[in-house]
Amino acid sequence: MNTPEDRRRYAERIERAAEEQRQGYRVFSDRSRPAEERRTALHRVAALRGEDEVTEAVEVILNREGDPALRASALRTLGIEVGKRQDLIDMAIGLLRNSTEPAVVRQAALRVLQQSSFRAATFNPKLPEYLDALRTVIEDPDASLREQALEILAQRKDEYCQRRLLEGLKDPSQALVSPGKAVQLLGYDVHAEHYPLLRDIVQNPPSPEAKEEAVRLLASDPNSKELLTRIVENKEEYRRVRNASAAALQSLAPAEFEEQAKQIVYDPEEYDELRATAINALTLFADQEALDQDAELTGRVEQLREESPSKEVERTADRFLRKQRRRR
Amino acid sequence: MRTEITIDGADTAGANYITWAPVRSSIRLVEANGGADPVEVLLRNQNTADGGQIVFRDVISGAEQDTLQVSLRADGTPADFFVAGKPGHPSVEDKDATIEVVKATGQDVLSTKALMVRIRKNADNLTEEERDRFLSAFAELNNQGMGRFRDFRDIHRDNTSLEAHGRAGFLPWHRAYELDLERELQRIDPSVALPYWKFDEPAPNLFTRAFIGVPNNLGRVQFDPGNPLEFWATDGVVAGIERSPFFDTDTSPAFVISEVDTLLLGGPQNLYAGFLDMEGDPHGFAHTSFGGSISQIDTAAKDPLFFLLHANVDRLWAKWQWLIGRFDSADPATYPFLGGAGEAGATRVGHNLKDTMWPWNQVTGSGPPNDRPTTAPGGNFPASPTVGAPSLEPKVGDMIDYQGVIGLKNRLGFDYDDFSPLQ
Repeated sequence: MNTPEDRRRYAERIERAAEEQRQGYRVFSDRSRPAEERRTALHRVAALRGEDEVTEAVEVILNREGDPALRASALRTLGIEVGKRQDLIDMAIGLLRNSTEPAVVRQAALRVLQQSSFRAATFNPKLPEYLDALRTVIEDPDASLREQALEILAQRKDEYCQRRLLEGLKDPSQALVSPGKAVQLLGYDVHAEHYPLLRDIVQNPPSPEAKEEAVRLLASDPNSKELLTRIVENKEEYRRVRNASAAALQSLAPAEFEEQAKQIVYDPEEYDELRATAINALTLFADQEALDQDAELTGRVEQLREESPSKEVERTADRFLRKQRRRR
Repeated sequence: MRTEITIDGADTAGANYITWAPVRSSIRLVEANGGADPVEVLLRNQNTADGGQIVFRDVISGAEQDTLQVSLRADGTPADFFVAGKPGHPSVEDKDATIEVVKATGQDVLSTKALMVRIRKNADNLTEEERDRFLSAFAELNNQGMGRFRDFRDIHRDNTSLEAHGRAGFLPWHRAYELDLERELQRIDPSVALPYWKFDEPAPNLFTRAFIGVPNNLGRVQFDPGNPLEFWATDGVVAGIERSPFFDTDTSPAFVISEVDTLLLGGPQNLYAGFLDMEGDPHGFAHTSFGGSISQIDTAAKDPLFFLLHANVDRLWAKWQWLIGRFDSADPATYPFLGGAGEAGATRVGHNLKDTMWPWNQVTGSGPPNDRPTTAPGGNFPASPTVGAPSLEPKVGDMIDYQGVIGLKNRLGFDYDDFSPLQ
């Protein structure tokens, strides 16, 4: 679009949308209409803004006799105003905290509050109350709400949340989420004292997912180098765990991994996913001057590009060779 | 007989990268070999079927043309003209837009000049080559959390959020942040432009293992083996990305208002102050359409998707500017805080038109009214070989006229694929 005519047509489209918004609001605010119709109309409204619209929306949201889906939609459509007004943040925190409210309304409250947290100037004074509400929600019977609340707290390095995650990993009867998810959430603020537990999870995994997550976190533990090396070398290991170990080892001990990556490239018995990962690591992180001198490796990568049935290997080998050509 | 074309803004290798904005150029005869004076030559696209296409103007205010006839003096005096990318025809690879100079009478090719029409595109429409160049450059910039990207990670945190969020400077600050990243990517591979995630439409080609990744049942993002993001790590701790969409990424948009509804946020008078509500929706809801690191300020920039999301936020602002003609920073409808911090009617420092922006100004924690974070990672704003703006310490106002509509010198050197400056 680059002509005045293009712009005029686009402006007409915008004007039609404005009229649809006005019509949508008329339907939404008409309490004689069925809830389903009012909720559908909210999609056309897009955003409820301005004092009258806020007042109308708040009445709908707080009407506990009302249709839960309509209440949730109204809250969602009020999102912009919630981010700008602390009284509306208070309202949303109250809904989130109240376990007698329908799950759909509490989910909407959580989503709107998270969105509002991006407007730090308004939201930060309310942050302690928000976090406190989340700490109550992690005990909630609703698994989705519980997991989202845990994740938000874990990202904020909340000590209470971390303690509960560790308790659940040590004693499954205390677990709030699956062991894999708990390990992943701990990763937002992993400490040295967590490493023994993570190594134990790798050696005695409650699930393959937990093992994969633990392997990733050990990428920053110097004492786990041998453990990760053994996993990469173990052709009986789950492929995802092996690939994750390769990535972790690359991060932890790049020089050692470079040699291992070359072995993987040469090994005719290796599977293609790991081979592509190895070529990728060499392309991105290896000593490029040394690679340029290694005619045997270049020949092997050329061979893989021509002969491998794997699209990933072919593409990665091609990228390796193109990068090498650019340097010459 | 031979001609030589010079286009402003060549990089150190002599390569040119242009957008939809016109760039001053010149052509001269370097080997006249006697004969006529002047010599009439025709400038045109060498390949009109594929790749980037170029349009020409004889003067800056002239109409765009697919070809341009120029009279060249035998003594080698340069003749000026302007080139720009042809709207709707961006490049797909480096130097795929070639200007061909032929004699106006006859078809003898006197010279060629290859360049790139480098445009930010919808990530869902990238070619595999474009996608892989972008991912490779990004992975190299990050270098598993040990590369230059670490500064970008450190700039967008909870303790720096007041510089960038909740006030008028939200859009200019993020425009600078995105441009800074794009310039760093272009130092690695100059053919890369930042793609955008058009979050109000499904993007099935973006949310794949070959591109930005697909989460497993724990929300751990999985990549194809060989994807350059396979080794993504940030904060020196955790390898990988956590991201769980609450919507079907194959068939649905994120939980955001549409593009046209966004462009209506400015109200009947199309004021920036109203349009800025887009910080909540679609911006905020695009972030929180996922669980995982992208859903919080402090961790959002750990996820490469953040930068595609914000490229679209910037595109929406740019499109609103284009639609309404909001490029004049002296107009309060374009930006409401025209002065500097501490002046009457000013808002927080960093959000007024004349304020420099942290961290590029390298100002730290001096207390009110110049309250800034305690560190300023990353140094000054990176210069571009292509354009002269912004300065090393950009002001909020430097982000407004990004296409050089008010003044060519204001150009920031990027454009989007779905609209271009009006002729």
